[in-house]
Amino acid sequence: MQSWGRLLNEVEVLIRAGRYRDALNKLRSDPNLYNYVVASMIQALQSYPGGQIADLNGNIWSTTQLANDLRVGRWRPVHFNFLLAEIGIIRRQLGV
Amino acid sequence: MRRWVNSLPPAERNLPLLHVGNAFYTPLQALAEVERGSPIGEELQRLVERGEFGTDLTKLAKARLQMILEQAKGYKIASLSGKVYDTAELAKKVQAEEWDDPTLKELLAAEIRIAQHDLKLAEKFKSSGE
Repeated sequence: MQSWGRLLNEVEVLIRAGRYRDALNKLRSDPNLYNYVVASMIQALQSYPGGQIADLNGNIWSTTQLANDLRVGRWRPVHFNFLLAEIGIIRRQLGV
Repeated sequence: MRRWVNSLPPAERNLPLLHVGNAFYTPLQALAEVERGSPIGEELQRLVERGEFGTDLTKLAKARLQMILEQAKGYKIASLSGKVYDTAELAKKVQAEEWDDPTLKELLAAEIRIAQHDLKLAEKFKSSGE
């Protein structure tokens, strides 16, 4: 099993390259890490200032809706911003 | 960053201003990301320091207008031409980018001016070292 640090680095590279599907598959390859990251993202979404986030496609997402989508595994492009944020925080928490 | 956000009028703190990846960030959201030390926060701080929005002004103004119209759902907006707009009707025009509409053009220009002013305020705190 790959270390979480290395896996997170690979996921970050894939997100930055716009390869969201590959990034998600990579993250899901370690269910423990996936659950940890998703729980962290949901927590961040629930306390997000303003409660809404807009994207370039003209959508306005409620952060509650985005958290609920994550709970059922429905990922949207805007979720990858939150994933990128959590990767950095988890990496720091783990010291990797 | 905090001083800059606090210097903004309260309504401006919750409107999209900066763009990173797939999402727009309001000044309060940007501050939250900076304070929790996320990579997105670092990118947002860089944008503010450079005086950049991370996207073009029309896209930014569109996102701001959509957020304003979403929050004003159910209200009517009267124009000087005598036409009264429903916010849902205006939101549709914004989504369709009907910038030739004089009312929409005016609203778009106003949002661009306000967004530029908001970001320019950050310079004050950068140059004074506050």
